[in-house]
Amino acid sequence: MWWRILKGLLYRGKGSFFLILISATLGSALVASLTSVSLGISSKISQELRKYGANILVEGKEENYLNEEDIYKLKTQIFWRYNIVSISPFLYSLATVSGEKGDAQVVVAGTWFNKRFPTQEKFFSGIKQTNPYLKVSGKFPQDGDYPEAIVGKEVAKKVGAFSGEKILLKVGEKKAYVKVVGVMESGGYEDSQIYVPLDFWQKLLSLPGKVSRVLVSAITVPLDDFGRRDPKTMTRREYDKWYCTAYVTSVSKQIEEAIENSQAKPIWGIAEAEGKVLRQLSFLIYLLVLLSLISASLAVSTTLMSNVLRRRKEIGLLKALGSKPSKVVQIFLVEAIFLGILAGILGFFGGHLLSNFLGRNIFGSPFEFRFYLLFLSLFSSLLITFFGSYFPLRQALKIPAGEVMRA
Amino acid sequence: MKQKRFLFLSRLLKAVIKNRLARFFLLLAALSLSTTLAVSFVAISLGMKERIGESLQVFGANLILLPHSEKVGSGGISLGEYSTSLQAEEVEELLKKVPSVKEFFPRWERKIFIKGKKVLVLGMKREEMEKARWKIKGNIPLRGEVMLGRDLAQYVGKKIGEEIDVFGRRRISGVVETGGEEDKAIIIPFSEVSRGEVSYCLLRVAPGRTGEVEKKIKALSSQVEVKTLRKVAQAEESLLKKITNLILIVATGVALASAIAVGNTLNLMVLERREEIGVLKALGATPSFISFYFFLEAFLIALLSGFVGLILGGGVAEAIALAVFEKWISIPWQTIPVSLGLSLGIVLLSSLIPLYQASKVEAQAILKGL
Repeated sequence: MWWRILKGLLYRGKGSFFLILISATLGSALVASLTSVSLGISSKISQELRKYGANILVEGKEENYLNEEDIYKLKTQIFWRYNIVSISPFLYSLATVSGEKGDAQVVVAGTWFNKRFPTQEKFFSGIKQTNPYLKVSGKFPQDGDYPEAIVGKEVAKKVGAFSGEKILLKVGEKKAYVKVVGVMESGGYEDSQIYVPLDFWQKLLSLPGKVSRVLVSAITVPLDDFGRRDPKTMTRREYDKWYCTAYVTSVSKQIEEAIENSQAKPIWGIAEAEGKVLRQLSFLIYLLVLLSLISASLAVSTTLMSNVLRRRKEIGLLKALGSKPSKVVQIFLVEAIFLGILAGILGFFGGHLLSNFLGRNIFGSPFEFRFYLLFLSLFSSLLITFFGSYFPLRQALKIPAGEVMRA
Repeated sequence: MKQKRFLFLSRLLKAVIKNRLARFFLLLAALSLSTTLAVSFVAISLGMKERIGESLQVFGANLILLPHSEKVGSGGISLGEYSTSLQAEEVEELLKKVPSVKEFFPRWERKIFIKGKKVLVLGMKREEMEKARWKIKGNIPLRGEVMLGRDLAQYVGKKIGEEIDVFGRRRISGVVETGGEEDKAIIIPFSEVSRGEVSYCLLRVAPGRTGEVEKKIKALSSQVEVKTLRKVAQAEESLLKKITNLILIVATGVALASAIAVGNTLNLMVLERREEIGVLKALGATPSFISFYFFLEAFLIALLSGFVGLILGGGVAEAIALAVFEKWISIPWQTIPVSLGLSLGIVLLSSLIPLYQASKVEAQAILKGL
């Protein structure tokens, strides 16, 4: 009997079934995609916030140098290695620059530009990633022992160093000619500095394998009161919990442990601001998602209401043939459940496509695929179709059979 | 003839409102709910941008105002070594003419020697120290006090409450950790050291407007140089764009869902009143008249629910703004035409199918039952 009901649903409705299905699918797709958006939004925003640059600064204790090889440990050894988005080491020295127009005392830093990590297959890191805000005319130098340089805008103006020209760098007795491959602008310190490849600079200064400071850009969770506490005052259990949460403080602590003789400090302005903005924006998106869920369920339940009303005659006929109201309800609910399951499954896949589209087009990467959303979209679409047809059905049943049949 | 027809229509509408008041309100409520949702999204997408921009303010200044670079002795060294400086009054006068500057913080810088080491002394206004998200042990410095950077405090081996010689003896009110240059510096209240001089000034304007303000200030004065701090300016522009795009797309989804809900509600309206249509037809009404009549009714309800939605939707948008940013949003006037247009558009578009169905109802089939 149930099969016949379902078959009838498909053939008799003259396409109205598909109309309802489309509307219910649309609703449940909206539910699935928006849920996945709201689940993933906070990680998307925190990735986006990394554009503000590094949030952890590592320096040597008592201004000692750090070892370059320790830096690789940040991607291989520490607990939160996957949260480390990019790393840039710097080896600073004050140098005299001579160009076409004159000389100047300038801070020159050896650094990575877009260095491929030997320990990691696809991990590239350097100031291209940690300082994404740099406006570069020309290009970045190559990583390695190459006599190339990228020059800050102010320095370029002052000494007359433009792309393609050579400048002389002098540190004490040591000197070398480097080719300017680009000019950079940030409005900040970079404008009055020169960057050269780290290997080249280490060689020139005879400081092999040494760096003076490291900038790290890491994805962290917003600091709460617990995260702000001094770890020295924590009990053993609290300390473990703190250590295994990606607070900017605990990630710093782990970096400090990995790099010998170092002290890692959160860049507080960035770290605290990040937490606040992240909380606000995610909260905003949650609320909007909630609103759109209401409107999606409204759409689906009204579709079902009009479906029941359209079939009042059928209900009358069933009643006239002697079926109890409970039987009529059963028949319609079986239809609703069938519809709900179908719409839930279709909506899950549709929602997955939709959230992929949103993620790719807005944030450049899709939202994470979560299989359990299938159950959520099934559940929600069943709930909506059930209530959408139950209440109008009860109303339709109150009408005496005769009245409906006459028409 | 035309007048008669109009009279007929108005009597019909009056009858509808009188006899079906409950139904009418139900319909109005259903439509208002949908328009409320749509309107709140319109209001949020149009009005929230400013609030998000403000919330991004915590990342700090996005413009810097410096004395003109030609006066600078040797380029390329940190900002503190500029030998000339601006006058605070001059800067204030200038910025009064640029209303889009939300905040400005003048700073004063010098280098002094402490225990044989060159140390930066940073004169800052109290408001800036309070707004900066730093980690401070102790207090912000007041008159006769200074605050030391963490690394410097370690280097000189002094504690909070002790005295240090910075342009005369001063008490150490606190130790600050920022992760930036301040860790190696001395921070001192601006008024203690500046005497009306400003080394540079940090400005904050709404995201995406840095270029415009830069140009304006350049046109107003040749004494200063303005630079966009790309680190902040770029990141916030891109973030703001992404968030508003996301809201816009979600809003489109909501509009679509509302259209479906409204269409269904109108469909219900027609379905329930098939008998009425049958009678009208039997009395000689043409299909186009019936369409027109239902259209008019839909139009009136849409207009009404548009207004209700405007008020409620505005309320929802404000409630969200208050919950998230703890501040009202100023809903721009464009919200009114956009959302009225939207709700009318949705109703009219989604009434097409039910109207067509209404005009197709056959008179005899219905009347048989009466």
